[in-house]
Amino acid sequence: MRNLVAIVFYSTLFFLIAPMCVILWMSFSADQYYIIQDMTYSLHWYNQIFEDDKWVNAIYNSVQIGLLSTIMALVVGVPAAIGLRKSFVGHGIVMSLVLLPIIVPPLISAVSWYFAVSSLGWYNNFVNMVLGHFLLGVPFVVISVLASLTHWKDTYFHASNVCGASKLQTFYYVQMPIIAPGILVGSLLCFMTSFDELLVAMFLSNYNTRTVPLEMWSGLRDNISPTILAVTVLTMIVSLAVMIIVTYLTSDKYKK
Amino acid sequence: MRWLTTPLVVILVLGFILPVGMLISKSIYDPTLLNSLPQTINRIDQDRYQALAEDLSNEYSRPAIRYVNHYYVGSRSMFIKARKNIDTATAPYKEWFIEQDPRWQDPKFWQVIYNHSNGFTLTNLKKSFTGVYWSVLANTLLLGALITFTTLIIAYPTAWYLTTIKNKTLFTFSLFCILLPFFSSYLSRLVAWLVLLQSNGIINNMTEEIVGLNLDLIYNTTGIFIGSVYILLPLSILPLYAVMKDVSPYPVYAAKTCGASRITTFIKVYLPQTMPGIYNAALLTFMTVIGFYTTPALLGGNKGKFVTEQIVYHMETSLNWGLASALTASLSAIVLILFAVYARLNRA
Amino acid sequence: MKLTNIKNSYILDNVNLEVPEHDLVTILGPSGSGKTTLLKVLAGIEKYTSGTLSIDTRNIGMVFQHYNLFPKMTAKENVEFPLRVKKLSLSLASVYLELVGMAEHANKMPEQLSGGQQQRVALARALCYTPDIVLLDEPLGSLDVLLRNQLQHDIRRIQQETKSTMLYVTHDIAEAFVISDSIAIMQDGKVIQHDIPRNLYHNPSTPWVDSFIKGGLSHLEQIKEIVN
Repeated sequence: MRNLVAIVFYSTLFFLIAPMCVILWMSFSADQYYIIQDMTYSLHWYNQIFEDDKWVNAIYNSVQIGLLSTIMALVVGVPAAIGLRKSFVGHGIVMSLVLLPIIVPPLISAVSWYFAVSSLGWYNNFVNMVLGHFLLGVPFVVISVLASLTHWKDTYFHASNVCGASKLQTFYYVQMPIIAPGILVGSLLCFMTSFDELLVAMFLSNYNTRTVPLEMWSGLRDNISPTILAVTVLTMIVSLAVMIIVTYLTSDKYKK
Repeated sequence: MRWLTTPLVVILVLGFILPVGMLISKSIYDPTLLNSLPQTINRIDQDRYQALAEDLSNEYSRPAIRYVNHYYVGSRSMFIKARKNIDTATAPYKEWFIEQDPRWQDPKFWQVIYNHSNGFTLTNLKKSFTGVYWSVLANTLLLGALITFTTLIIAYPTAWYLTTIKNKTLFTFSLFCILLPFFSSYLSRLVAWLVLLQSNGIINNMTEEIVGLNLDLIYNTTGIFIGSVYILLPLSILPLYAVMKDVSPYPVYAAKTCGASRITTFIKVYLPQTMPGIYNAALLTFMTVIGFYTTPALLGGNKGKFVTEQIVYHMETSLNWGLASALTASLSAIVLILFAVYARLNRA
Repeated sequence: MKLTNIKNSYILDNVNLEVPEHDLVTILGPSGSGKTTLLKVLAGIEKYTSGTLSIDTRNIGMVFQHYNLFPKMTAKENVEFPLRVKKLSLSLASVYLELVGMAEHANKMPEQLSGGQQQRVALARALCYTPDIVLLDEPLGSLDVLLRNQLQHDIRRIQQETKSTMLYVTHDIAEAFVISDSIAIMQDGKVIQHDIPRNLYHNPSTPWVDSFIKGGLSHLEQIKEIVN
């Protein structure tokens, strides 16, 4: 029985990982990506990324928007998580509210925001993008910080009080070291969400604020340039790095 | 301490609840006609044609062109012509209009004006649940259910096997294989399949060499299917695994010592204990898949099989925002109901 | 320090207590009698609805039953924390770590220390800024018996060396008898009797106090019999 399932298991693993390896392989191909006979290799497409203005622009925009929205998410999300640590009347409702941006399909959010900004007359696309990504990413910050807050005990607060520390001092010296991993994980997840986000970008941005996913998307719709594969691989590598950091920080080894 | 959460709550209500609410309300309330043909609507039972002439001679009547055309197809040309010649309009106004275009006296036309005269219209909402749109919605739900089912069928044994792995390295490696796609950008994953499923792509190259078959794997439902399952698998495996690793092995041992067959043990003892995980995984997967846009658009050839594609089409191309918002409203309603069920299930 | 007529919204009912300076007073009682609540009121963690306290709750030290030490600071940093906040000399930290016998573990993290060691460091942290009174909330409750016996003596010794005023909460009658200058017995939110241990044994003020004390020490009688 177990052997039968093993076949399913390993096939699934293969199914999951193979496409990513294939893409990695093909991104090094010197010519059109889907011909594998007599394939020659080159780093041409990776070079293209840094030479082609539109990609450089897109990366620059994506990083900027990602960083700004993450910072905003931290400023609002960390205190929110601290406030949500203990249960209170309506805690469940607030938690559902916080999860809403993750649950609601991104298309619905994007369309709603598009209507909202047009009626309000907010035409600064950059600001709109940052706000949108901030809203999409803040749940990750809250959830990560909440998770790290499970290590927080009320007695630390009382002890710190008794030692004469103010609320701010308690937060900075005692609480921060404890939630630092949560903050890091949350910001990484928030940044990645922004970096990867397509639909809000589709509706809220213009030629000035094109992001990496948007460039990939238009590239795919029109005429598939292999540069996209190179970009894909790079984002995969970034994701890998993020994943390693996140699993390390949430693993038992770190928490001892 | 609780007040620390207030800014976030306020922001989420303003930034999320409010816009989505406005969107849903737009699907039933749209004052465009009210604002563009005010006199006509006001005096519809009296001297409607004269009022119509007054409205059309003004710039504010412009939005009516696009708006009415959605509900009375072809009226665009009527309006454009009338507006162009409006300076020549004289009494008797009714005759002047009929001369411009006989359709100005069509009762069906006036029915449309009448229906939209107070801004509230259920037309869009009705439309999104009937005819073509209903079949698209139904198709989305059905396809979504099928994809969810397939994903679960694969995810369940995978999650179970994962709980049985004792070797730490193997375990980490397996988790890596599951999590890496999960953490990668979903566009990247779609690009991967876009490349792989091409008619002259790797998979077809292999099948051609081995069995001489060229498969039609992309720009159709099959493509959507494969791509969706790929993206949803990690999402299903994780909640299932989370539940399974806490399932005590003792009831299973007990059943076996009682002489139960493997199948009976599974169905009567193991499966029930994993039900919460199954519900969670199924709900999560289904909620996610019906909201997919990029996957059906990219791998399905953007043929409009999913509701989401229809929404984008009406937003960007046909500019029928009333309909787009109605469709979005119907989709949101479904997702919100599912979410409520999910929240209920997880409260215990 | 003096408490007069302290009342509280859920358990404390007219508590009167006087704690002489430089004494170790134990608050003894069964669970739910309000001992921990009383301590928390003194610490400023709980509110009281009427009555008066004669101490300034800002200069006290406290040792809890669990989770005393800040997890991401070393033992030394833990003790230095109140010194930093109150702008006192940081060298006091080493002095007090020495006093509680934890000088060589100064740079260890709390998770590297045993339960008993952690409580010692917590004591150092509570003492180092010479508070008006030190409150201890069942500090040995989560430790095993041998450790408890050892630490009881150490705490008493340290208290006498530093001449601190301590208010010690416990439900362990034998422990109370061994370390205290006087014991205040609480029941249902009231202080029934506050006296030296020997008087509580021989002159209990109510039958309940009598059975409580005798009951708690009954083991000792039995053990004496078994051994002789």
